[in-house]
Amino acid sequence: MVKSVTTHGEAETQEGSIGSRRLADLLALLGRSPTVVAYLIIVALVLIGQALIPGFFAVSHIVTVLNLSAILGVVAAGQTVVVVSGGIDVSVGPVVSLAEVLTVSWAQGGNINGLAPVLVIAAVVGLINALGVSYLRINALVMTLGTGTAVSGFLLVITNGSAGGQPPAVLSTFMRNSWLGLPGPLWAWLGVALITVLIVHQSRFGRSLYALGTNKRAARVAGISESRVNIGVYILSSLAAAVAGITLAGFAGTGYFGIGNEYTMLSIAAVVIGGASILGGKGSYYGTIAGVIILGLISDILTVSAVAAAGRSIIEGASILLILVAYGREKALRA
Amino acid sequence: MTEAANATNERALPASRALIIELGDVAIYVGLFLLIAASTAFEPTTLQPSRLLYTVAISLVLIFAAVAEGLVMLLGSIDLAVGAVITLVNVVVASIVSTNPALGIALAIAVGCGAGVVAGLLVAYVRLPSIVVTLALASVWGGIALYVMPTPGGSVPALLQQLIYGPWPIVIVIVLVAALYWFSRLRLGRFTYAAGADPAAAFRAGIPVERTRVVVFGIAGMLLGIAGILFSALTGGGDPLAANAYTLPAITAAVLGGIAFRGGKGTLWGAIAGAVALTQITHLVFFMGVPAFYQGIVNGALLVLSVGISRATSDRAIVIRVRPMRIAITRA
Repeated sequence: MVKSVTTHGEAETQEGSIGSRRLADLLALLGRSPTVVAYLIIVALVLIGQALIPGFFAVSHIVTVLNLSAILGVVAAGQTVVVVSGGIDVSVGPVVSLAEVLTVSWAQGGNINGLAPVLVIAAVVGLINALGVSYLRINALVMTLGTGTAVSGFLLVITNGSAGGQPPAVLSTFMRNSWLGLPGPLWAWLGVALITVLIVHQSRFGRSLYALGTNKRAARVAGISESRVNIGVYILSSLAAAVAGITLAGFAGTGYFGIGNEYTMLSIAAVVIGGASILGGKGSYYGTIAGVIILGLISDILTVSAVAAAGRSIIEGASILLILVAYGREKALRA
Repeated sequence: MTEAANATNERALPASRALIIELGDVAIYVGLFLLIAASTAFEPTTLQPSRLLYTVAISLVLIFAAVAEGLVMLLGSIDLAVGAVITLVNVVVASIVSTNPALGIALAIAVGCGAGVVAGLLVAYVRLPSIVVTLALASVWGGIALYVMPTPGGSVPALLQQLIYGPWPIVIVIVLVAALYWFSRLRLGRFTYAAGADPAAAFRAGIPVERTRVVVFGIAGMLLGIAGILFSALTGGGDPLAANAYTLPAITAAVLGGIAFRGGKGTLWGAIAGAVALTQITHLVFFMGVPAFYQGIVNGALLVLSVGISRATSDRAIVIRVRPMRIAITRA
């Protein structure tokens, strides 16, 4: 593409000088790497936040924002695993609610043993999802929509409509205090993030996720058992949602039936903003983390600006759309 | 294959000589018939004309929501903002238009159509996945609804409230059925199925896939506008949160009616039947004394069940040939 070399030693191309060529390359690189764009958006949001609200960039505030994003970070970890493998899990919101309410009402301020049944129930929900998707061949969206609705109903039935109680004392203490400068929920997120990265990026199971998400048939031919992978995937997602709910219970201290509902849409948004393709095969938890932080920053800016619930809803939805327009697009139809 | 072999190949069924009925399309009617039969066994008044009219009247909102969702699903997309759009229309009608029914109808349809076109543009031209688009838009419409009417209130013009009484529900359904038939005869109707079944092939065949998507989303939006009017008529007021619950049942009804997720399959009349069936099932469950708490489990189970049925009947068709008489159930 170099047409000629001037006496100054600068190469000239058909499009322009090396300067604009570099810019074009940079833009192309960004277009190919949504995760990088996501982290750039984080920087932009922090700058906007600092402009709108002095003191935004203070360490304590940033830690607060990260802390509030921790719950979504945990839920989105499970959602990442599902979406990368080509599925979707819209039952995570109800499972978060289930875990939160049950942790509070079963423990009654007592010991931590009450948590095990919660995790088991979540695992069962995940198993049901996986069986429906793999063996009954039911569309993942529909299956998880059905189980999610059923879980919400089940929660009402099993608690008889009342959500009183207290989370285990140990849990409350952990979640409501800071350890080594970081609040409890953030530690929970850190732990889950570590496990997620190990599973998704460093294990054979993780690689089979990407294989399955890219091309189901090819994956099957390559010897990957779709049903077994799905079982792992959906159980992990439900467990992540349960962990998020338990964390929330310790942090919030009271049970509330609808507490987990918003996490369904937010976890999907975080995953897609982070660069994953809703069809599967593309994406990483690093990107999802960026997506989670972006959503957390937006939510925080809205809160500090005292925007009412209506405005929050509008701005959150519009922000997700705007960010997606930047790089969430699918291929065009070609003749 | 020689011509002689073709002529004597008894198994070749030229389409013009055979009637092909897709099982997935008719399953809902069989199901609806059985459902009404079972309902009558439990509750003998089911078949009384006044009761039937009542059933149709309370299914009206879901009927329009299901057809709207069905239209979008025929394209191969999904609309998770159905409930939010109905909510928005309801709130607009109940607050801005309290006294003028004509303005109310016009505004409702405009709002619904606008919402639909926005979604359609984002899906067709910006090429965002419909599941995320409609999820995000649901948040936006819901927020606007909350902004327009923070707490339940407002009033609905009396004339509009009359829509659910008397013969009007049946009239409305008949008009809808006729409109859907007209739609199926339009080029747009064929394009919808083509765009849903195989967008790439449709594009190569010269079908304006993107434009079709936007128009169909817009039509679905208009139907949601009508659903919003009917919801307002039903409740008599505005509520910024109530109609959000229509999204899942709309999807369930469309699937019950035989519309497949992957697009290009199913009929919108089936969606109407699915909506009526779903309303009747809900009523039956309530009538049998199942506590309200269990509604969630029932709704979830119903959705999964309907998809299961849909899968069992998919890709199978009844082929009837007249001369010589032969009826077969085959994989289409």
